[in-house]
Amino acid sequence: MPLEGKTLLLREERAEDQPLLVALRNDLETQAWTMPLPPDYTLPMYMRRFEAREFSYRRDDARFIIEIRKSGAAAGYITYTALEQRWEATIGIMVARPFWGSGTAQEACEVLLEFLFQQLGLRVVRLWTHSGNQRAVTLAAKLGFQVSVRMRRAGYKDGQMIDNLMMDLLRVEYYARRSDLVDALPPLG
Amino acid sequence: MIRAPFRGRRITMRPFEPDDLLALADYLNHPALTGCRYTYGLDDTLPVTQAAVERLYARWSEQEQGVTLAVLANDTLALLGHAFAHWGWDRLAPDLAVVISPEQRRQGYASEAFQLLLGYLFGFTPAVHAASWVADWNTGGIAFLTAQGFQAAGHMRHAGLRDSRPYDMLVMDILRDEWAARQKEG
Repeated sequence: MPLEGKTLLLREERAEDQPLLVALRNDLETQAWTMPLPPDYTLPMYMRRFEAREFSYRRDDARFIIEIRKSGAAAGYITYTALEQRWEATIGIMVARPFWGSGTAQEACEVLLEFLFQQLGLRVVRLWTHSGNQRAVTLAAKLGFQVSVRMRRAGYKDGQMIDNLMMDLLRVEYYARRSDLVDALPPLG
Repeated sequence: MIRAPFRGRRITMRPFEPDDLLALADYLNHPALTGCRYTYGLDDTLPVTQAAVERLYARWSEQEQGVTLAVLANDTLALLGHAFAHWGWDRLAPDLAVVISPEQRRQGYASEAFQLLLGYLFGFTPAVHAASWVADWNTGGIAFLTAQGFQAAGHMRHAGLRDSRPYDMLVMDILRDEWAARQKEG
């Protein structure tokens, strides 16, 4: 069963999604990482990566395809990694250019955050971005994240030195923004 | 043979060897190191078994995106602690840390190990930025990093739980040119 938002779903990755993932990886702008990868990834590489995923009940990561409800189109993907059970995870998102500015990324993040806080009971969610990616910083701020660490001139991209940024959102801050939800976990400290 | 960057006036840093593991387990289990062992992959708050130390040794021996070295006294060859640098994703911006056995503290070993490690990173690799992570309750660690020329880059909030309260991880960093300026100043 997918995670459901108003206009989109977060569903499991499928073989037919691989061409989109290759295209996203081979676009230097949608890559968005602090150290670009060469735009030469192939469909066979991605198929092997997809088929190599193994079953486990002890996963510390997840990857969801963002699917638009109305059209059924795949708009990108969203992940969490570095899961520490009942404590923290780090999220990441990559959205195809036609969906930029449409609210897709924000809604996908909101759906994933609800899963991480309401279902997994995390105390904090983090993300990494950089000072050259103002879209990501603005989106994260809209979601309630704040810049907690700024590593000065720690990266290089597009011919510029950039600051690596860690942003985080505490559980208490998330629930303060979600008046429709009640936090049933006892507070810490 | 030890390469020049890892030999200092009072200490030498070299890869761990099987003969080091008893001494390694001994100091890792010192209560004063609880929560600041920098042994990524082992729970920093639980007692460390010899088997866990052997797994740690195996992992350190096969590291590809960083290095963890034993810190030894030049005069006695005693194991003093460990030092690591991890560049992971991007060699521009490694992390580093030095852990000295609490029995061997306040003798300048950590400073010497840290400077050797920085000398390696800025002298032998493309690093332009180096960072170290220290818990906000570790005032000694923060003072140490400040003395090494590091400055605060921020707080990773709610890094963990200690004495029933969440604590933050302070990130401190130094740039290549800041390090070079300190070298000129002597």
